[in-house]
Amino acid sequence: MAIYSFFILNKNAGMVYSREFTNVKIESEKVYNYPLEVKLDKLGCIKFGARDPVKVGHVLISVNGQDVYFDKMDKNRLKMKDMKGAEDVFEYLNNVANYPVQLKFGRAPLTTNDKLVLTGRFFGLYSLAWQLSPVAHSSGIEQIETDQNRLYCFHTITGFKFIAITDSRQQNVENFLRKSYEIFSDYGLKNPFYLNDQPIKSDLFDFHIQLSVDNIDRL
Amino acid sequence: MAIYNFYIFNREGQCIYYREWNRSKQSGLNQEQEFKQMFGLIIEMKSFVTKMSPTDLKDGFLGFKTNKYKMNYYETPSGLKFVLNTDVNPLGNTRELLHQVYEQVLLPTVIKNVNVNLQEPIKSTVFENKLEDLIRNSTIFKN
Repeated sequence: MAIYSFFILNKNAGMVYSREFTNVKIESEKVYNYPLEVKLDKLGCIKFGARDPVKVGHVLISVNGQDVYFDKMDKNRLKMKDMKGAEDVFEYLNNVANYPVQLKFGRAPLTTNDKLVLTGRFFGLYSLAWQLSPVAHSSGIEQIETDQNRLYCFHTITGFKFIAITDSRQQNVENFLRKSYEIFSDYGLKNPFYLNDQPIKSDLFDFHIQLSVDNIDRL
Repeated sequence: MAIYNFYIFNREGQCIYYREWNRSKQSGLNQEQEFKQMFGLIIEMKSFVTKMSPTDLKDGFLGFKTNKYKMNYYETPSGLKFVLNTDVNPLGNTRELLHQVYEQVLLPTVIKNVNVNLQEPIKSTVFENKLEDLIRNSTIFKN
């Protein structure tokens, strides 16, 4: 039972605050023989051919213990660290002589950029849900359900959206979101140095959000 | 009276069946446009959910809620997509109901029929009657 992450968006789909409360890493390492059974795209993301515990959508993290990184300076190639001449991952994997090879795959963590894009996409979904409503006077999305977790959205009359991603068994998330609106008005908006629609960087705000997350977990 | 409308999409994204029961508000679009929007919503929702989730998902997207209605989603391994809009708190398992629609109604009357092409909208009256029976007798519809 847990809250995984928490976001505040302003009315222009900008992200005012984001915080993650989980550090679960999903990674798995496996030895592969030639030819490689998984098919990767040019970002190292598995397209198909994955078998448990590796899944489609996982990203290549390391090859034979050497971390893989994305070289934007060199034609966006995927490279390995600590190799003489920084070897290209795909050249390495296409060479039969290098097999068997030990590959580590895992779920890529969300970068700040990903979060900005995703929260922007949520705005589109929100208004589509309202438009396709079969009954009058419907709001936008308040809850998205999957088999593992849920996304709760609390829309304030001032246009802010408070979003929490939680485990599907977690109760009382609506209360938590209302509480965080209160914290946001107290420690964000009432702060005379806070500029509207700018990201919040306040220790007191962080502290109170953390406090209410800890409290909800005990319920 | 808590079931509003029902869509079936084939794997190409074409709406092959649509029916409504107690729908009180139209979307203001023509029907073709509305089907496209609904399919777009599903596709976007599925990818949004897999990106946003901190863990790996098994079934993925199951539906969403607003303050007035709940959208229930079920997808078969063959890529048929079912969307059922109900009341916010449906009395009964909607996922189970959608599975029954697939297993007890669509499968024997349409999919097992060799003359039916799933690229075309479903016109079978047997299918329609059976679906009507199943939906009208479900606890979700009655309450």
